[in-house]
Amino acid sequence: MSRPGCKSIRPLISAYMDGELMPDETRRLLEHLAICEDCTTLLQEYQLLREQVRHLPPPTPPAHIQRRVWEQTVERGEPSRFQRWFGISGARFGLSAVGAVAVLLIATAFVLMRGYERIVPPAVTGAPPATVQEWPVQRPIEITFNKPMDPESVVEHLRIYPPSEKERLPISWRGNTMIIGASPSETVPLLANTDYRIIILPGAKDAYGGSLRTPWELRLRTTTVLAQEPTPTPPPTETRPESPTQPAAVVPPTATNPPPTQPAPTPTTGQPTAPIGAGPTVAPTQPPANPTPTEAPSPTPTTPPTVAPTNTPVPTEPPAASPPPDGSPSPGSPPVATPVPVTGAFGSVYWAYDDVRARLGAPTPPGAYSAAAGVLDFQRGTMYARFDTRTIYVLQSNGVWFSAPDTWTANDPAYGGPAPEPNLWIPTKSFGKLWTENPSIQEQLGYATTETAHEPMDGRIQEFANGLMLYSDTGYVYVLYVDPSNPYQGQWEVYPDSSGHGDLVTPTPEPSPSEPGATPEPTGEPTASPSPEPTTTPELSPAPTENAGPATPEATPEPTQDGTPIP
Amino acid sequence: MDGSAVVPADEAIWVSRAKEGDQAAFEAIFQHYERQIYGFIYRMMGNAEDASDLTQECFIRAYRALSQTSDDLNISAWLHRIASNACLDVLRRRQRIRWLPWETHKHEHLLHGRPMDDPERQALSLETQATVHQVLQQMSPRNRMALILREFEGMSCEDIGQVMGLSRSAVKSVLFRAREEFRRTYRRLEEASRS
Repeated sequence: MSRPGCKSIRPLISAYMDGELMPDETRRLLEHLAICEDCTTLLQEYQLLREQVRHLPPPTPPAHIQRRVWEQTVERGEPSRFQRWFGISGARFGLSAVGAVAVLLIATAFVLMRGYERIVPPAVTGAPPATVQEWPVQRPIEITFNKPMDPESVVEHLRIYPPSEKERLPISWRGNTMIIGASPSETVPLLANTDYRIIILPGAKDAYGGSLRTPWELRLRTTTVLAQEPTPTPPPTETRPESPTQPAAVVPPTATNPPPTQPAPTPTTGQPTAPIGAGPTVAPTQPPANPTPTEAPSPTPTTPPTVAPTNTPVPTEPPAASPPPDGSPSPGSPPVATPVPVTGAFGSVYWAYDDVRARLGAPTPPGAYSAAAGVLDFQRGTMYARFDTRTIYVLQSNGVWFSAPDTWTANDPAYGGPAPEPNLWIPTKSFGKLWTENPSIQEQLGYATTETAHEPMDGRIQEFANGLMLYSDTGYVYVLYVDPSNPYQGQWEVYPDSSGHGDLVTPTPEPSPSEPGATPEPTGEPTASPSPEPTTTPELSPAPTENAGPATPEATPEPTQDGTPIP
Repeated sequence: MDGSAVVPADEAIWVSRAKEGDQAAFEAIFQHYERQIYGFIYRMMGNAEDASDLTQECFIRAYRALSQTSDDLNISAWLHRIASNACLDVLRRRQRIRWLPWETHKHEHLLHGRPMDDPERQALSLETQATVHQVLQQMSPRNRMALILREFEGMSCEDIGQVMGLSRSAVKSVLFRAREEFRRTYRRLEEASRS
């Protein structure tokens, strides 16, 4: 129903679409939208308008414009360099002859290469350069392999972050090239102004059954310009950016974030195996020019939340609502001498990455436990709420996390609603309140990529001497390193759950020093216990048969396979 | 595939070199912006013939005026300004506020070759595109220009201000009015087609 204030709100809706509101105006608008159906509908209409205008097919300029401009400017009667560069007159016949020869050569090479193709391991040979800073949303992402792949296997081992995008974006194939964002019948635009990570995990198979040996990753940020078609502009040679072989640009942490001291994960194969989320090696692009984003974490650190999160390096007691699972002793009497196991999805990350293990330190009692939780992905980060301690972890794509108290109650507005851009939303409830009340969080995270949070879910948490791991049942492990000077903030990374048993029930074998052939824990930490996770969590479903029950001494530690951190 | 061409990393260098008469640099600028400027003019004028002529005129004017520009030239806003002046000149000369009929058959080939094998979907899509185009052409040139620059070109309010010679707050007002005009016109056309 229309309300008295609607008339003054309407210009704000338009300005909101353009990112032109001041923080207090944004808050006023969002609060109004939460209670006014008419204005929410208007916002949706504006959004539809935007979508319709932006998705008009871009017209193609006729070729003669180039020629005529050239004739009246650069050429001025000189022999037509334009024709040398662009013209094809008279070339048709030559082209067909050359084409015939090329076809013959290709056919011969094809026959010869067939045998070679079988034995060469699969690898990615072509993809957008890692240095691309702004990717047009209408441009599908193409990843080319060196040989025919098994599409099902590749898609199964494909991870896209934000996770909801794997569901939304069509994936198709053209020969050896996988196309994300387009199918033969449609092109689905990427989310605007969003940090994407595309990962192909080892295990993706080629058509002959050979597996990708090392993980492959691409990071890019999309542009806000929906309609701009990429133009085939060859810039002058000397202005070209770095060669594709150069590593992705590393963005230094902001002033509020000390530079990371840990190197990126160090695979023995030399292939980058960086985590998907942000972190020290993250952020392919610079944050917006507006200086406010760098202040994003400041509100919380400077005004510590009233509800203390459970992310202190050494928790004194486990959360009351979270009985320690996995057969660990009862809360209240944490064992001192018994090593705490790190298993399942947590183990698949902890034992696979030396630097993760080194930075987190030893696991602390009571080990992994369950808690009601919710997770919501944003354009440039993630929020993870645990409802046992009413804490929300804000994970920003610049690699910084901080925690804030969850103060939403049923008496508060539900928040939510459409964002100015298509397929983006204002977060709801707990996430919505924190987001709406903190412009710096809005600036840093952007909008939610799904309409509602993934909740309630059975979140899993494990604490360590210097941080904690969070698991969402969407298949990701978030690793949070606690800042020694402030337990409510630090650096974070996200890894795909590569344990193959995302239910976290099945134990991941830990390196056993006594096991011949097994890789002992290099640091000799007490957590490198030969005793694996002894039992399964009662409330969860049974694990796959091949991994069910306690790990046997014969089990091979995952990190040692091919020397790759992600097996 | 080369994503580096999407946003010129060193645009200022291109501009600087083009100002000094480097033809290759002008060529790079031309190639980078030709499609964008053509698209903008096409949306403004509503037909391919005008778009072709005015794009050509825009780049010729730009080539001749480039040497007199300042060092911190915002090339995108500048080219759009030349293009928008050219459009408004023609519209004023013709006193043409009414839209030209949308000729669907002329535009099917512009769909960039992505096959749409579902005829129903294709028809729907074309119909919606035609309506949107029709709505745009019925809007006042000023509102239309602001809306195209914002929604189609993705320009910020500041850049739109540079193109249209307006302050940032004036741009916000124009955009609000433009959205309202688009919304009302769209509804009217939809109702007319239903009845």
